[in-house]
Amino acid sequence: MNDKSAPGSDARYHWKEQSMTTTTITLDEIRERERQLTRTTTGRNTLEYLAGGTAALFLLFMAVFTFIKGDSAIDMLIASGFAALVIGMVLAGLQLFTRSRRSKGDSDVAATGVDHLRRRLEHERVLHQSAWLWYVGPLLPGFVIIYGGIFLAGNVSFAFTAGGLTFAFLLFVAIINRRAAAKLEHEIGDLRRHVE
Amino acid sequence: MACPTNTLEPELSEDADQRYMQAVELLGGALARLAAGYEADCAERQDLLQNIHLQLWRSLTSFDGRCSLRTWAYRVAHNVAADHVARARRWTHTVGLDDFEDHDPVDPKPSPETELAERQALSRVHAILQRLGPIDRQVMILYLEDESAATIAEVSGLSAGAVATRIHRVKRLIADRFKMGAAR
Repeated sequence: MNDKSAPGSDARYHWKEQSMTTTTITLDEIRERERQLTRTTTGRNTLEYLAGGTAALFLLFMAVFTFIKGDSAIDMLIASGFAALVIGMVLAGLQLFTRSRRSKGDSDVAATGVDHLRRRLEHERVLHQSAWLWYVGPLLPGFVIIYGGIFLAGNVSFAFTAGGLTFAFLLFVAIINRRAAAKLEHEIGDLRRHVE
Repeated sequence: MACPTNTLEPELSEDADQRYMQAVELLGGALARLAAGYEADCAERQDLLQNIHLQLWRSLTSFDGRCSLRTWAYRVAHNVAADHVARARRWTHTVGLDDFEDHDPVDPKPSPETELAERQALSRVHAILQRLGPIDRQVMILYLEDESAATIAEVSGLSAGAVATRIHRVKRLIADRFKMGAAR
């Protein structure tokens, strides 16, 4: 390993002698960066919850408005569909919140390279594989009830067009997540073979 | 994977800040080179390096002595860097040491800046690194840092045999690349 004429030694020499900015990072700078990171994360999370909250509030308004203004059983059905969508959004949001908290707790940044990589891939695979269940699934009952109500109200073409587009989109989300999970499964298998 | 404490290391401080300072003293330059091995873009590299330092400092509050400070610092740095690469280039295809030749021919027209021999050699090393998957890249960087096979095994989590095989491939790959470069 120490033969100076060998290309390996040559490469190691160039590697270690490479010129680069070696700015010293002080503890104060690190603390400031941590504060900055916390601010960015809090800001991003707040924005996401605000966006989700606004959408949920709008749907809640639609549910109450349809319930108050409606005078038929079909109107009540559509109002309950909006309410189901609100519940679905809250459930998906809660899942997202608990899963992201759990993943932070599980991370071991000082694990070996192989363990860290395997854990990350496995975590991502589980998220993708179950996305339809915790992200798409909770929204389905609400959409079914709303489009069912519109269909029963006689607006058949709108119910089929809008409903079809909505379900096609949800199906697309579910499919790309399943495909991503399958790709990750493949990567985990590769890693296992790589290590053996 | 647990590993024995390195008796050559300075006595570890109880204070996390002091531990961090010890780690930087021990591996400061290596961490900067490691960041360069994972990130080609200068600004992104600086950002990655700062993140490595931040995560290392954070992690040392829970340093549990499962391995030496050196191994711990290397593990944290490589894991942070590998996550950085995964986030930045989720779908970029990386190759293993065995498949390298098939996927990445030597650039026949180097830029004028890389004409200087030393820079050419270094750019060849970086070109190899940028294409490798996370574990192979980890092994190669630690090999370039002149770390022992035992340390590479402790950091990567590979068996001693697997590390030996990879080091052999790294050596062969470097030799081929340098030979091809010299023949140009």
